[in-house]
Amino acid sequence: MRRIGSSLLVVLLMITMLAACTGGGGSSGNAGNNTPPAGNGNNPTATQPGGAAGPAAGSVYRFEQPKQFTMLTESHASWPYDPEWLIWDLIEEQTNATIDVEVPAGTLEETLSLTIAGGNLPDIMLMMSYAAANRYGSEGALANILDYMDLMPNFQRWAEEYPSEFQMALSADGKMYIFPNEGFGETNRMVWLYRDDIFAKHQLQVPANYDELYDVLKKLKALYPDSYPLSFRGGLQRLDNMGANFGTNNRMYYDFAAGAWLYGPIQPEFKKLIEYMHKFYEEGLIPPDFLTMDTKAWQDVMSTDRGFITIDYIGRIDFFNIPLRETNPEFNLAHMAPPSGLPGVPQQNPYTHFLQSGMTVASTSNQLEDVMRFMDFFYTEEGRNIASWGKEGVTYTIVDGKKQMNKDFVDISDLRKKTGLATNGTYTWIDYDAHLSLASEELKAAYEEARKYDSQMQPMPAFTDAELEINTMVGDNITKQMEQSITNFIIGELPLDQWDAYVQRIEGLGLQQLIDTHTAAYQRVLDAQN
Amino acid sequence: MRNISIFQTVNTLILLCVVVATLYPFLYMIAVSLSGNLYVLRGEVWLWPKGFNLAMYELVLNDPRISTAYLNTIIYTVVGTAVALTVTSIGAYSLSKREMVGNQFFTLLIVFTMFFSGGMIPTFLVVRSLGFMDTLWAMVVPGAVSTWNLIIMRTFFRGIPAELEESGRIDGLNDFGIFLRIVLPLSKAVLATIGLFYAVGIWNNFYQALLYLRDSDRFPLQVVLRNIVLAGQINNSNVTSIGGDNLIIEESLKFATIMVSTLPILLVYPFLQKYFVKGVMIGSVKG
Amino acid sequence: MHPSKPLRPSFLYRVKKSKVLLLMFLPCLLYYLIFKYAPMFGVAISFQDYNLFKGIWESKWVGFKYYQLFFENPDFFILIRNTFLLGFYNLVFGFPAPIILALLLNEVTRNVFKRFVQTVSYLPHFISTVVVAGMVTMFLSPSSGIVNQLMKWIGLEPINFLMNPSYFRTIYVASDIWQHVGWETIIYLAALTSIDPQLYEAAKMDGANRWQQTLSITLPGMAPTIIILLILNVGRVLEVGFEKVFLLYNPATYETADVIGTYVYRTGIISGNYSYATAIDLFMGIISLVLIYGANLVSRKISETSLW
Repeated sequence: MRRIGSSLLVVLLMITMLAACTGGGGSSGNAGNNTPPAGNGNNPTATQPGGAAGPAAGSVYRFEQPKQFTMLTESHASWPYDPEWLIWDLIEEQTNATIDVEVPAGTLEETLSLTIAGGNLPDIMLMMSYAAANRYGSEGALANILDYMDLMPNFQRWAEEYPSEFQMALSADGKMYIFPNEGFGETNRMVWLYRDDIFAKHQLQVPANYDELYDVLKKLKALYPDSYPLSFRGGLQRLDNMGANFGTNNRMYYDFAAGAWLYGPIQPEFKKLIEYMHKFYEEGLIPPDFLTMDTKAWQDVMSTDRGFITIDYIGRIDFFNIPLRETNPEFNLAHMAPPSGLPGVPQQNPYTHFLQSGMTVASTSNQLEDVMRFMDFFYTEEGRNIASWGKEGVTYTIVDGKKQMNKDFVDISDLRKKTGLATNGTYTWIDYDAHLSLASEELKAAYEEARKYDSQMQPMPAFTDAELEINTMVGDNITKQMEQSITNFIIGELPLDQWDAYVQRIEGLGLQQLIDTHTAAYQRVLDAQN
Repeated sequence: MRNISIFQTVNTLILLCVVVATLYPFLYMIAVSLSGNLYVLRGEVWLWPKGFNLAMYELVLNDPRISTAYLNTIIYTVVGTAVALTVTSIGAYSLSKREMVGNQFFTLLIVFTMFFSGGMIPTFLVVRSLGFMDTLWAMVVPGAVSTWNLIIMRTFFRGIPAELEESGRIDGLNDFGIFLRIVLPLSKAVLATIGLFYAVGIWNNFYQALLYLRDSDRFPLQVVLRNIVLAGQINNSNVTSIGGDNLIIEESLKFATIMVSTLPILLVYPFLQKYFVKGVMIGSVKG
Repeated sequence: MHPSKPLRPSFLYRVKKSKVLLLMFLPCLLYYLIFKYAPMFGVAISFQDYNLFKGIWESKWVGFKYYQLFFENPDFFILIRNTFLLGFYNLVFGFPAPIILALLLNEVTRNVFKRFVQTVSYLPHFISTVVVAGMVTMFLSPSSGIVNQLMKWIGLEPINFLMNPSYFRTIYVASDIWQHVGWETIIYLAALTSIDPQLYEAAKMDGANRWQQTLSITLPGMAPTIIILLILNVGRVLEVGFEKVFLLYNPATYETADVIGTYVYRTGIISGNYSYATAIDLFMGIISLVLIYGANLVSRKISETSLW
């Protein structure tokens, strides 16, 4: 049992496009929400002549004979896989295809490597990252989706509507091994949050920049000496969020203005951030154990008035407010505009609301073409509707012309557990309003607010195997050195006047190689766009 | 004898400290698993449950995966221990006899495997080619011999006085007969120990399930447990919920699951303690 | 009663004599050949640019590339040093602990108390590493952890244990001992049962006290078990598992905490570079083999017990 152990969670994107709307007189409720296209959803076309027009986009391909596909996906502990889920029925209703799901015994990553080594691949496999899919794809395990575009008119149309998402899914050699997604990334949105009730109680102002932030934190510390006003989990990863406030980042990033790839942690702007962090640490404004504060400890701190400002997923608003208001009705965790670190840098959050997981198709599948046609379903309006909303009258209703998710679902976890909607492997294209409709009014408002502070999304080019190896080896050395030095700067083990020596250390570890791989990879993306 | 020496007092104190240090975490886990969401979230549970409720245990025990997994684990453990104990003990006995041809060579062969292995994927490929996938044998055979246990048993067998075995030979028994009639009855302690080691090892093992099981109806407890315990460790997306308390429950759900899956195997050792009796060899050496 | 043979018995004769024994060994042998030796072709992965899908036969050969990469890593010595020190301290402090505990338990007169302590002391062995690490983090927290609360109570300043590199080894070894000491006493308790009580009777009549009895009877009686386990543990010194270190370390403690296992995880496993992981494993296996060979040699010279 040597050294196994990746504990990557598998996010299985199941592309389940349910075409709920059109036709089918037997479906409950009126077809009032979508106008059915000219042909109805049940196109009983058999095989498509290769290269011919194929079914019209907007219509759902329904198999003449019932089809069965095998799929390897993750089963999340909070909403474990259930073959009785509504979502499977809805998919079958529309496409006449059933999915035989294989649940991994370990983490998805472990099981994937065994499955691929074993050679007996299921038709569809969820992968946790585009990089993993590209790696297995370049080894030959996955089918190149682009070869089958003729069979997927809806996907083609979707690609025109979402070109950047489509581009992101391309591999280094211009192939596509993983199906891109859109919509559900919103769940990954990270924002600054603060205790509005505490601020109101002491008449504190929401800070707009880091100097004001420092003042507010000092005041809070004076009022609550046992607290650490700025508490967060994830240790140095939060420097990603804070780096954006200074116009930089905590890893390799693309500076659009300069048109070049830079390494964030050695930039002068980043130094300014670290100067603030050091000040915060020295004065007890951030917890002394900020590196080891795990989720549970952080939850403790935030719910017992020992932390007042934090950076986390936007969903935390309801996560804390709802239960804690039972005993403290005034508790109010609210969205806070990200403070700006330097004059001239706008108030912005990094673009984190995207999802890196997706569905892939095995190259050894003996139903390749049918699988592709099946996947196309998830890019239809019907598919999106089913994946997001479910079935009218069953999981959602129409109120004043707008869709509203049934309130007997407490929240998204509940929805997932009961119906299987939005679970790994059941969607690619999500209408996020479906999930928002279960959120509180405050959370909905927070989403609106948060969108104002979006920064431009960083390019994530695909790397060749050789480039990947460099990124991993050199990258690990650099990351480790960076993390150690930055930590020591923050806790005062290393005085800040040693910054230049630190920059030189980083560069001496081969940073230029990283810059070269990123530049080359991105150049390929730019060339492909032209 | 009412005379309590200083040594006894000190000894007792030390052992009591050991008890406190090792018992507390379990009490903590039990307390959290029985506590209400809110108290867990606020970190207020230290020793006694607050907001006592059995919700988590209901959740765990009603989970259909758990009952199947339980049955599987029990079967794997019982069969696996029996097989392992048999193969290991006859192997250890033969290794303990220096006069066996190739003894040194075989020992080296075995020790070598402690340091070099083909790795996870080649092992998987070999077992797969044997056609064991998704069977009981996949969970029992690849783990049938642990080098560690084998060597320990060999050490014990070597410690059995030669005169006892000689007396068996005089009575006309061959090596196997000596093993069965004389050595085994004297080895209750080591059989109990190694049996326990194997049983616990199989009960806690998920590695083999990961490699060789694909049908979720055959998963053992550890698979389900690991899934649940690991889920709370992830500091990334798709684990958040917009409101609601599913994530708060993670701690208490985790611990309830641990309690449910660990309790049975914990209770095995106390039953085995009667085999750890001193002086099994009194009166056995005669003449 | 055999007449002494002037000539060494022939090979075939010895085989015939050990026929039954060989048969008894056969299942074991088969097991090792099939499940341990057959997969060893996997060693080839470390010399290839392993393609998981195509398999070993179709993967490209790259020779010693990955070994070289490993040796050229700037942290090569630090990683090995950390791995070795953690394993070594674990050996020095963790190996005697269960022996001492077994001896202490042996002295307990009340059977009920003895069984109670035994049972409770092995409970932590059953707690998974993930949970243990979580508890350790919680108990050592500078703001809310029990240890620091106690320190504050006495009047000392709270210490940020987990972010201080000089504490890492202590924390790691101490939590290991705490987790496994109870379980590891079981084998020593079993060894104690095979000591003939008549020896104790004789010693008592000679006037030996408990301490002298321990030194002259108990310890020698347990010696074979202790020695074999010691040799085996020396062989495992470098096998510092990745999981616990990974859960307890952080950038502030990398300099003492980052070990081979965690490095392999970051660079080999996560990125799917099995070739690199296998190469490093192989290299560490060779070192461990050398260590155990040395331990066995020493043991052969100074005692009657040895692994081979």
